[in-house]
Amino acid sequence: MTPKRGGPDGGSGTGSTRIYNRIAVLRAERELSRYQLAEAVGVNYQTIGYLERGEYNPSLELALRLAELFELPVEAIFSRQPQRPMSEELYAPDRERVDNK
Amino acid sequence: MTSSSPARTRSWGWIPVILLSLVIGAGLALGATTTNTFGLSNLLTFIYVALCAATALVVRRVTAQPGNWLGRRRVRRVVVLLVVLSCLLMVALPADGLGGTVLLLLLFLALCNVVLARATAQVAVSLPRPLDERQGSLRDRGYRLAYWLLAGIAGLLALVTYFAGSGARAWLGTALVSGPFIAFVVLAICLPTMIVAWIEPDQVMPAPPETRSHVWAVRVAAVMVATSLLVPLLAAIGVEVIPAQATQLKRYSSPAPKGSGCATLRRTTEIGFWFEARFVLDTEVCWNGHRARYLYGMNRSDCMASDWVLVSISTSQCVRRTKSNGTVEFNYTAWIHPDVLSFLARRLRVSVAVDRNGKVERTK
Repeated sequence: MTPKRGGPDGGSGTGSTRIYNRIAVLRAERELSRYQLAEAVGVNYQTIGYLERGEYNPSLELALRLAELFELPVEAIFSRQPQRPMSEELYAPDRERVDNK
Repeated sequence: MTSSSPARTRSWGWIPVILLSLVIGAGLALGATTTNTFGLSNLLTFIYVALCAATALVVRRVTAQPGNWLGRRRVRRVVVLLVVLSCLLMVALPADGLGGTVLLLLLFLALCNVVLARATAQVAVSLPRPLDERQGSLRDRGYRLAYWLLAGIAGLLALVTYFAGSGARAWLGTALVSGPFIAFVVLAICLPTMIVAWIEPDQVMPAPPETRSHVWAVRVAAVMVATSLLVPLLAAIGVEVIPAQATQLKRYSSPAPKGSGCATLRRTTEIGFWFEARFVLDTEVCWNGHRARYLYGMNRSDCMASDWVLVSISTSQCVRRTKSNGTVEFNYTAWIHPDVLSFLARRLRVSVAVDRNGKVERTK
């Protein structure tokens, strides 16, 4: 994984590799502003922006807090691999099942 | 992990107000005990220092969002480079050429530091306020890098002292009490903020709306910063612009036979307000109908300023002569440079002549 340059800590956040996430999509689905989400998880709104842009990797505590807020498992929000679009992940298995029949 | 957002408006607290009241109260008490004009100047200096202290306290208490302009890393880096250039200029200044230029540079550096503090949401300023985990790690990284940079500079200076020749050691000796030392102190204070401003990526736009009280707090802080920076500049310009305040040449004659006599001449000339200089001419001249002669005064002491505050003075002419017609003439010319904006200069010329009959021929 190529670390993204320009992160606030070590170039890519708290870790040396980039962690991909779906925070922007999940936030939009729940019609939350960055500021509201930041308030809800107790961080600065800029931190949410950096998370969404992949310029900051959250701590485990922040990741768990976000997962709790979105009521999703951590691995549904964060991944070490680039994430496929939600719709693809949701519908691809069904399509595969249909094709198999 | 901390939980509240630093973007939230914070209480100002009463500490700055109490401190400011105490300082101004003490200053007024001091000023009340002095009666001359320069007591007022010293009082103004004292109040100005109090204003700077209060401004620093208020600016530290107000957490302003960087905004669209300062949120950009490119803009922040330009400000950081300006600070570095100012420090290099300070290092390059000759030790005897300090004074006004250093004051001006320090004012500029103070402004840059305020700008950088705002651009970084004061992350590197150790305030007792909660930072989130990203801001905390950013601050820690800023301090870590600043420590190594300053340690590197100090180590380099130690090596230079150890290995270099006597010339370099002499430079180092001078540097410890002049521009390089000031630059080092400025860096020691500002470097963490400069590093944070340099490394933090472009911020997320737009910023959330501020509360009305917070907007006012930011405005008050901005006005205080502008006042702190503008007042000395205006006072420096005043040295050149404000007309000289000169008292009439006072003459105290003593009784004497007809055609002869003695007189004490006094005249005070004041230039500028707050940044000011006062020249006092005090001389005693006697005449006998054939020629005039001085008893005291009209010498170097009358050519020098009796008091001065935040200006430097160079005397270019200081001449006393007795003409063939018996007239005693005294001329002096001085250049007054404010310590801030020292390229400005005010020329002061005073000329007094007493003829052989005791008539004061010319004053300027």
